[in-house]
Amino acid sequence: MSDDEWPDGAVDFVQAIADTKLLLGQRYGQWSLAGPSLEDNMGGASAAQEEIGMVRQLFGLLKEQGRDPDWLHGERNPEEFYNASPLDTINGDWIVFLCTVGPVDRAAWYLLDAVDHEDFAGLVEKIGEEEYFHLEYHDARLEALAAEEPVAVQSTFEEVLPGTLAFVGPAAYGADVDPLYGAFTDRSVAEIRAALLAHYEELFADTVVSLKDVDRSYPPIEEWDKRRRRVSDSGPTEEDIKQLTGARNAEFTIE
Amino acid sequence: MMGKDGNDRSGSVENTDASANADRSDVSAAPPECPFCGSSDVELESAFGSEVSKMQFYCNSCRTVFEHIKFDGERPDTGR
Repeated sequence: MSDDEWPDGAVDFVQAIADTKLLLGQRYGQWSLAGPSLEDNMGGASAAQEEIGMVRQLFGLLKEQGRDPDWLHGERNPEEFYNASPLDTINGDWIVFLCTVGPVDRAAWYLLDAVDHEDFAGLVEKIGEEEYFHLEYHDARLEALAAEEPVAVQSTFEEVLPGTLAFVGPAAYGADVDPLYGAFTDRSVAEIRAALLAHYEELFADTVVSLKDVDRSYPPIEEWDKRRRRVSDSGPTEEDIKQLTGARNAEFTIE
Repeated sequence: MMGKDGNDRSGSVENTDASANADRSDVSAAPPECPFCGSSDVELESAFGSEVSKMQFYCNSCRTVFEHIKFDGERPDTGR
């Protein structure tokens, strides 16, 4: 770890990535019982383990920056989780699952890839190797689903992408406005948003799925919570938090 | 050299049942060095490990199974 404290806003930025990965781990774990094939279920279980491993690493860095360990590990209310809002709840079948976790996982990777700080040297490389598998898998599945179930894919993307863009940050955060650009990241929020949208436009280019109705101006900057990188006050459910913290497992604890 | 199953493994990867998977595009071409002893005398044990993004190798030098990420060194494109 470096001796430097991170600049203002950087701890919240990393907290948002870490909490998003925490919820991704939970959602991938749920997916492992809901996929259409054994291979898909194995992929979900595998990705869940990797996301939780990444969370452990990122929480370690956050503790070094003064975050309370108990708070990090779940002693907090739903509205204190900084995860991307599309992961709060996922209501739907496996297609909705995939079309939700896919763009959010990719957005989290883009944000992490943008971090330019020595505390992350090596860690981002390692996470990238694991994310390579996640994102290749998502895209292969999304391409196939875009041909087979275009209506479901398009409607889910129209619902999920605005919240995912809010997680990345407001469109107005170009290189001259983004407070972390140059101080903690080497890529502005506006550039990351454009790259994320361009990726899915290219992925669906040869399908009937269109992203033209996605609200690309979201989030309204005046309503955007810069700490939690979202607009709403909501958060994961109490049930999710119980599972994430292992509260139910406490009865099995050996004193 | 004898492998842990008692079979002659001196022919390296080509002798293993799992070697058919070595032609898969998602499996790294070059075997890694053993992370415990540094030996390059390793062979593919399984195309899948504890997670599907990993594969298992067996080190003939220190007789240890170890896991290796398939996409070692790869990073997902970020549109940069």
